[in-house]
Order: sequence, then C-alpha cells, then structure tokens
Amino acid sequence: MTDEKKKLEPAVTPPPRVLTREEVRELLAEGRRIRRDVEARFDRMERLDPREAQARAR
Amino acid sequence: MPSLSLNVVPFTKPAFADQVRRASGGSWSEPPPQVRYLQSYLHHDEIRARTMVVEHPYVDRHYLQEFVGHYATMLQAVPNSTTRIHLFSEAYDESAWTALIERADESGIQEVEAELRASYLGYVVVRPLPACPIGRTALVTYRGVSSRKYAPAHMNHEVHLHGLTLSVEALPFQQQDQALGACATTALWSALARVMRADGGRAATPLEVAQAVPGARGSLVASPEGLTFDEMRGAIRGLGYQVHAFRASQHDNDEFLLALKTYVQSGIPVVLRIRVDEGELHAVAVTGFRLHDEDQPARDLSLRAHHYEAKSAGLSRLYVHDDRLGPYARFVFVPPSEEERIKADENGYPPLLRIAFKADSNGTEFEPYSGSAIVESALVPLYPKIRTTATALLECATEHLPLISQLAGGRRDELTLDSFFALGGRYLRDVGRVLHDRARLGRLRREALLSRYVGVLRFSVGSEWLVDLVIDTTDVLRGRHDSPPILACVASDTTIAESLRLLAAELPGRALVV
Repeated sequence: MTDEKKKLEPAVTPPPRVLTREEVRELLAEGRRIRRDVEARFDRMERLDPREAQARAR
Repeated sequence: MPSLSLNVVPFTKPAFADQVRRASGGSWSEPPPQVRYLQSYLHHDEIRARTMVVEHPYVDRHYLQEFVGHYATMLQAVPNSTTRIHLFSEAYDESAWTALIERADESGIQEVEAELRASYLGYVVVRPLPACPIGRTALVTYRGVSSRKYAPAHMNHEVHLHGLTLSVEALPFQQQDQALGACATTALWSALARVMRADGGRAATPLEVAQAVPGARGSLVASPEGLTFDEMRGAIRGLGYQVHAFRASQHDNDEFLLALKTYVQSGIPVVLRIRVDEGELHAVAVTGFRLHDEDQPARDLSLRAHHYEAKSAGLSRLYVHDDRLGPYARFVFVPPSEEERIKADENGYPPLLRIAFKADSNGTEFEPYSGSAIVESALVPLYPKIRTTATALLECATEHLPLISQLAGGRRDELTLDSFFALGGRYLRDVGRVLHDRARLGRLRREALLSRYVGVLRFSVGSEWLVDLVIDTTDVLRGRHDSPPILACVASDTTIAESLRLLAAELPGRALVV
C-alpha cells in the first residue's frame, strides 16, 4: 500500500439510506451489462499487433 | 591473493568519473552517458553524495556469472572481480572514516551502523569493462516530493562493509553489455529482480535472464540483436513467472495508464517497449511515477463505462530504469501534435502515447536522449499467486460502479478509484489507516480469510474513503465474463456496510462484510 493512502480519511458523508435488495440486484445487473464494454476494450488492449510483437527491442 | 582495499574519496563529479574510469580499466575523452547520468543523479540536491568509499576487489554474483558464461572464454580475458563504489551523503575524509571504524571496533557497532545507515545512498558496481563499466547499481530514490511514488524500489539490499551491515532500498540497475544482450534483457532483469525477491526467491542474474529466452537455453551468449515481444514474454515464463502483456497503441491512454499505475503502485515494475524517434525499439523498466500535484499538475485518469465514471489521480512523470542513461530517469508525457490528433481522429483511435526523457535544467549533455518515444506495449512479470491481472481488477471495478456510485450519494461526480495488489497480511495491517472503527477493524483482522495476494479496489469520494472491495487473486477465471471472487467488503460506515451486505449475498462465495 502506498503513502497515497495515508491521506485518505473515513467518509463523513453517508449515503442517504440503506439500499433495498431489489435496488442492489438492479445496480449489479447494470454493472454486469456495462462491464461487457470495458471487457471488450481491454480485450483489444491485450491483443498485440503482430508486427510490433516481432520487432526487436535493442 | 589480493587483499581488500577501501579508499575514502570525497565525491565530486570528476572524482566519480575518474574512479569509474580507473576501475573499468578504460580511457575516455568523455565519460559514457551512463556515467554522466550517475554524476548528475548523485550530485543532485535531493541526494547530494559527499563521500565515496571505493571497495576493491568486489565479487559480484551478477557479473561473475557473465564472466563465467562469456568473458572468461575471451582470448584476452578480463578480470573476474569488480570494484564497488559506496556513496554517502555525509562528508568523511580518510581520518574521519578511520576514526569511525575504530569507534565501531571499540564501543560496539550498532551506533556506528546507525550513523552510517542514515547517510548511506547505495552503491555502484564498476565492471572491468571499459565499454560498459556500470554494473549492478542500487541507489536510493530522490526523497524531496511526496507525490513521487517509487513502490518498485522498496526493495531492501543488505550491504556488508568493514564488518558493518548497511542497507539500501533500491531497484537494481545496470548498463547492458551489448555483446551479451540488449536493453530488453536488462529491463527484464531489473523488473524480475523485484518480483523474484518479493516472492521469496533470489534475483536472477542478467545471464540467467538471457538464457531463459526461448531458444537460448544452453547458449552462453545471449541475443545482442535484441528481443522480440514473444522472446521477452518467454524469458519471464522461463523463470517461472506469469506475464501480463498489453499495448498502448490504438488504445485509450487512460486505461493503459490505469493498468500501469495499478502495477507500479503495487510495487510491481512494468517493462515498456518504446519506439524512439529513429524508429528503433527500446525497452525500459518503470520504477515509479509522480502523481498530480501543484507543481506538476496532471489530468485525472478516467475509468468510464456508459454514464458511470471513476477517476484516479493523474500521472505527470514516469521514472524508469533506462540502460541508455541510468536509474530512475525522469520521463514526461508529450502531448500529441495537431497532425497526430487529426490522424488519430481519422483512424478512430486515440492519439499515440508519447514520453520523453527530461534532464535537469542544466542537463543539455543528454539532448541526444531527450527526443520523444512512442509507448508501444507493456509486459509485467507477476508472482505465481497473482492470477488476476490489473485489467481484470478494473473490469471488476466497472461491475460495481453503478452500486458504488449510488453509495456516493450526491457526490458521485467526485468518485475516485485506487486499484492495487497487496499481500493479504499487509492489507490487514494497513487498512487501519482508513478504517478507524476499532470494533469493525478488529473483526476484519480476526475473521478475514485472505489469499496471499489480494487485489484492492478502493473507492473514495473526493479525499474521503468510501469502500474497499478486496479481491481474491488466486482463482483462475474460467469464463471471460467471470469476476474474481470478492473476499471482503470494507465500508467506511455501518450504513454503507448494510448495503454491501446485500451485495455480498448476490455474489458467489461468502464475502466478509464489515
């Protein structure tokens, strides 16, 4: 853990209320939907350009 | 049998270059760039070396293997030992040094060790190779600015001198002998040194790294023409480590930098393949970065998905071990030119990610190295028990963004994310910096069953900590859309914890919620 974390403090702004089970399920389902987009972007990021991969770092 | 000699020499830039020249057996009209870089680095106000203690002969395991593997078989063989130059910020002359050592002999060594440790800056091994004198070098980082982060350099090296034990925290650097390998070999060597040591093993030598390249095993001489991406990846795997590889070109710069930041702030060096302006590919090891601050502002990095967003403090500098220069070389980000911006727009890709070495203001001598370079790709050696990559962590963060945004209430625009890996035990120790509720902290520490390494998604609102999601890194994801298991949800207050308890009930496994 880095020094950066030392500066953080516990939250003083609590959320307005406890979420309901239904809300949590909906938010999680929404999260799983939007995750697909990010996964697709990271898939592309992890797919290397074959020409670049063959170049030699000297 | 030669006897050991230890000479105390005041540090000046010319005196340092002279010691390196003599120890390497060379003669030069102008020192090589690596020596000039070290002169400048050690002379800088934030380190300000004042004394050199020159130890000769010094048997360096890393050089010795190269000697056995290559130099011993040359017709005109070079010596098998090196010279080690120790650097101190305190000014000692020969008589003051002798008095100090005598005091250690007479009244106990602990006091003298403490005094020397306070001013010890590390060492430079000088090989008897005039063309590439700088061998294994372990030097402290600059210390003056708190927004500079050098987590990969938090690696302790014990040093024995006069029967005293000193230590230095550093990531090792060395200049690559091009007869034996390439920049890629030495960048991998630096990165692997950190990962192998942190994993409880002994750091590989440069020759072991070179011989781990697929197809090179058994060969005594490595590949001086450089290494392809697959060869670099193969070398890491050959030494028993996993590799995470990803590219910057044609990809969102923020996401590339978020992945890089995740690793570097976890203490894991990232090897970058960069294309210098002449078109040649070069490899460097990222050893740190500077976060946004008032003196060097940087735009926040952004993890975006639909209308959800979490920001992360931006990076204004990268510090890299660059074997053309030296350790912790400062690179800045270069904004794309108008032409590049237009071209990127036409192609539908983000502009190229460019970095450039930035010498001190008086460092005109490094102009040949200050041209910008395009960051092409990254390779990261991972501990065997980290089977979750930085990108998998960020994907997991996305999955929980809608819920965490909701927990941020009216301040969701201020939501920030810090993602990192940590030893499970270390996490439990350090989490007390943010979780101040002693009862819940105690419960977390007593009841959490964590993997050896955990991934941490730390969400905050502005500077106020909100939630930690603690991720198991040891599980191998079976399906592309699987999430790594969450081991613990740690909330800043009990109201948030109640909502997280409902979340945990929806997830596989049994996450502890406090």
